[in-house]
Amino acid sequence: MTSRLQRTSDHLWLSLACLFAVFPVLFMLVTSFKTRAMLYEPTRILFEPTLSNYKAAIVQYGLLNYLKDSLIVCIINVLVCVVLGTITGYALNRFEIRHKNLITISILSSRIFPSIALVIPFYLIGIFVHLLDTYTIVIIVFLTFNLPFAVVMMRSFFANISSDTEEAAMMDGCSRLGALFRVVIPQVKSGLFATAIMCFLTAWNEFTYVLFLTSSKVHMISTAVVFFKTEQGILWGEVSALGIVAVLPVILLCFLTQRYLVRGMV
Amino acid sequence: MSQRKTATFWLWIAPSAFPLGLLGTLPVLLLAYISLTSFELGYAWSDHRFVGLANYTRLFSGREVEFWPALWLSLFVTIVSVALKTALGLGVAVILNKKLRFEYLATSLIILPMAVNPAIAGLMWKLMLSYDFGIVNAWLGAVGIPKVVWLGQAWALFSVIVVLVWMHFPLSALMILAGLRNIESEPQQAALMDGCTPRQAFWLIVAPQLLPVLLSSSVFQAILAFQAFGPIFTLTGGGPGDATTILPLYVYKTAFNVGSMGLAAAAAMVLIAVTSLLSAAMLMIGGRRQRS
Repeated sequence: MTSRLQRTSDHLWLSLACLFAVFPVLFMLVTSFKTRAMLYEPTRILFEPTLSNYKAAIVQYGLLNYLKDSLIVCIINVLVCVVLGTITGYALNRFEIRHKNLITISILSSRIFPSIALVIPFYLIGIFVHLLDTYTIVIIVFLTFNLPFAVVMMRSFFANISSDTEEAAMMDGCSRLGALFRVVIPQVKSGLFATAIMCFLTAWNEFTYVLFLTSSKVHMISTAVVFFKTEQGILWGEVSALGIVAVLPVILLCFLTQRYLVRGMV
Repeated sequence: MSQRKTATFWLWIAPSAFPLGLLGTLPVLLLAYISLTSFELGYAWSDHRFVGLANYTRLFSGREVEFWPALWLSLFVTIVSVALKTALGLGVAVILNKKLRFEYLATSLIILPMAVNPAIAGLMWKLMLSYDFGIVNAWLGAVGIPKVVWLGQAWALFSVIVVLVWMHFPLSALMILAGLRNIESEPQQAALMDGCTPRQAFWLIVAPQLLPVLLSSSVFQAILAFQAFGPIFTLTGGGPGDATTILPLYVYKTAFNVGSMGLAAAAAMVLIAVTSLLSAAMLMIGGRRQRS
């Protein structure tokens, strides 16, 4: 009897927690389908949805441009991170070397500094080398958090597979790099995929660096919504449409990599 | 042999180590240097003067009146939000660990805030808490409570903490859940056989073993809370007035609104010092956990 009561209360609390987690996203989703007049009825959920906010976001506010720039920056950054992370992560796992932990920690150290602190020198460097507001600076600066992450993730995946096959391949005349690409990487394909997705997620959602290092030439989705203030205040319908477009794809990606989330965060 | 091995090792590490070494040290060194100068935004870099520790004395002596309040506010927000995130995360983790039927679905829904862009998270809550368009005020109205100005002087700090908890409690839940799954269940079963209530068994047997996990998740959360910028930037912008200007927002305002880069850099160095200390603490906790 008590156990059934317990079970019911567990379900109840868990549902509440889920509702708390999901509700703000749902509310924004619903708002994005409302006309401006309907915004004054926040509790109304039965209405004829309108696509006018999405249309305005695309036609008036250049949503597709934002998506294009974000995709370019994130994909190039992820490719660099995955290639370099694989090579370094592999070496960190396979080579017998002293101070390996120290090396790993120093590789990770560039990740711990707050972006709002580092953006000041990066902004200045951007001025010095005339790279402010370009793809290049954003892609490079994003390496500070994504590359260490990729290295550590890949290292942990290599730790899970034995070195027998690559040793066999090297006996047969393969170089170590050749063995890595031909024999080892096929075994960590899913890990590689997860690493790439999580790097993409982090890059897509990065805000501080984008806010200060880009302005009129590079438009990225994570800052698109911020500049959406007019004299009439915030246009919540359009903002919600932009926000949903920015958030939904990564939420779907996040579900794909659920299993790996804890491992990567710490 | 061993020397050649070391050389090959560095050859493999170099493509990552070189850019990371550069990206990890150069900006911090430059920031440290800026913090010792009078550099102002909008002036040529060559106009800066070296002023020694003047920026730091100005910050810590209280002549820069916004600094200490920002630092204390940061501390307050960090402590309160970490406590709430950990409590909520622990509750969720304990329930998820019971292997209920909808566990996978529930986990998927719980982790959703982790995928949301921090700036958009701030906007989502700004919409929810909006005076006219917000659903929170609409609900309050439905039960007869007058509308609240959630982003006004009285409630803005509370709203900021709610957003931070929303964004980061899933991470606590996941970390604690992983910790719970590593605890062996036999001692707990034995205690239950011997007549302990489940609650006693949890607090006497599970909780002590969970302590290191709780500690490291709390420290990690503290790092996140202490450097939170995006959500607060979009939710309140540090306002009204300075009501929610925690240290990262102080750095932003000083650097890019006021333009006092030197002063902002000094404050940013304080931010870096605090987060580095917290990270070191986390490494030590992690190290001890691995050894035991």
